[in-house]
Amino acid sequence: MIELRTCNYSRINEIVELIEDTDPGSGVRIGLGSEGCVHKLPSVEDLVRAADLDCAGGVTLVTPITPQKHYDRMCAYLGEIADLGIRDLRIVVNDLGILHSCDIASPVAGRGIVHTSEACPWVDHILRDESDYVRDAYLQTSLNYSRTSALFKEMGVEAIEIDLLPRTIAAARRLDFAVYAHFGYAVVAYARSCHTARFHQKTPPECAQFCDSPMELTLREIFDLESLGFAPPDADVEEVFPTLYLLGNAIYMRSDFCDAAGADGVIVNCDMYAPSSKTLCEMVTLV
Amino acid sequence: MGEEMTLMAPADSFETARGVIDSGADEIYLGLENKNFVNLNLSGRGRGCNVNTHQELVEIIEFAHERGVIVDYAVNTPFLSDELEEIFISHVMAGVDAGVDALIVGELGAMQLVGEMGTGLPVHASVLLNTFNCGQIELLKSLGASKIVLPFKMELDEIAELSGCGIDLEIFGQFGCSNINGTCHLIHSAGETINLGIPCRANYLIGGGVQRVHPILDAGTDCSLCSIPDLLEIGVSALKIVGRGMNPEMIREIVQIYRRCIDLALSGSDAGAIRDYALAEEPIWQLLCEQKRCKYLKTNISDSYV
Repeated sequence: MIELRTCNYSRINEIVELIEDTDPGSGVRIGLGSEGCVHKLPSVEDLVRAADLDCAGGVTLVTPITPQKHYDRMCAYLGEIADLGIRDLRIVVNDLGILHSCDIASPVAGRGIVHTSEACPWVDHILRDESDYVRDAYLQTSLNYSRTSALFKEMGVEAIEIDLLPRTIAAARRLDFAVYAHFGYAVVAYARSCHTARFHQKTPPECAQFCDSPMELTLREIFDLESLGFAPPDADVEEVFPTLYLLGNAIYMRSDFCDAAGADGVIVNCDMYAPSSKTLCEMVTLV
Repeated sequence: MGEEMTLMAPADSFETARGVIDSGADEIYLGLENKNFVNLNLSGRGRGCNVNTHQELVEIIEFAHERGVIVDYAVNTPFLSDELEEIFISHVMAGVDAGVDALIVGELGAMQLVGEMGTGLPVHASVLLNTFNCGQIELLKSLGASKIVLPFKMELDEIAELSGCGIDLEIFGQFGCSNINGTCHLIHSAGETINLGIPCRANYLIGGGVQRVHPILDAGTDCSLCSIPDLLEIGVSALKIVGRGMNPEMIREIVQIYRRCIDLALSGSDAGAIRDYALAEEPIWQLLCEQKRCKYLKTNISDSYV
């Protein structure tokens, strides 16, 4: 399964053209919504339109981390969606409160609630002195803890989304969940105070125009805890500190790892990256 | 209006514990080093941010209890696995045996496990669980939580609404992260030997058409003194200072200021009077005010809350 995901419905025509040009066979899903921003929730009408597209092998709705001021609206929205009975709809949940309280058929646990230590860019430095036992235990997903996994199952979760990172995907293969892996970019953090909105001095949701593509961030000066001021990074920091990518209120790092064998699907975030027909064809072979 | 507000302060040694208790903390929170790890820990923080030995923990607890101060034991690792469960249980019991008063837990399965362990201690749901809404509060209550630590970035109206959920809430007063704590992998102060600083407060070159160096990820909110009267008004009963592993003298001074400002608010002083007091007493507050890093007031940072 390949899923092409966006939080910007105006991109839907590009996605449809890509699917039609590539003709990768059945099973290309279209995903709408954001893991971290409630303002990127698709309208019910857009969701229905996407589900009705002939080229779509199903539609995925991504629901975000949900602060209290949006909570009632989110619950009502999900109730409305449930009443529509959209065919082959998959709902990704990134908030434990929503997962616990809303009646969602077979929810998919998203990266907002499934954690992976490998998403720390310098995890190998942090783990450098630990025993093999601790290192192996640590480099898994949060659902590799059977108690947490059982609680997720009690809440109806049958599938999870993770970053396509080597040790994360290896750990996820051991789980009794369907696994969908995010290609290309791993999530490093989500923020409540949207870094993009703040940079552009906008108040969400007036910042939507700045969420079309990511900003590339290269570390220039660390904030030093000793001097409480800025200082150039040492060479050993530069070695482990990757380029970061900021899209809205989510921070990503690039991952070139491509082996999704054992996963049940690969997700491509089309807001981060515009895949070509060739890339899409290659992706079909990943899973 | 609330009639009391507990001031919670961090400790990572007997020295810091004594400093914050003498400065007016009602409750302290701390973690304990664990010999199974070198840099990692089960306390939600890494090496250097925890009490070194069980004996030191016992001494801190005795010192605190003699002064009526509660000791919360941070076992809030955001990550646990089957392989680490036995170590975690032993680690929790080390604190229980030492005489701690409550457990701070940061992982869903760990919350369930601690409940089954039957320690008889109250369980607090850590900030690392990212409890943004009443749905999650209900989930955590069902797992035995008796107190919820809310995320760093909350609006006053949201806190007021969540106060009605029938559980004690703890909120952050001083310092805290730019990102959602339990989702952030820009890990620092975890025993690293390279100087990462605080990555979210760093300067970045923004590429593409922007080409500008800017601390774009810095959304740190550092102070809530002016909001104490409002927080009391909406029923917040506990205010927490962040700072395990930070300079003990600085933490002690911060606790002193918060103690006095909470007492001023409880005796009826308004935000203006509290602010004037802090500025007169500690010039560093001038800097914080200029930076507008207010936790619960309208600022550029809160304007960009999703």
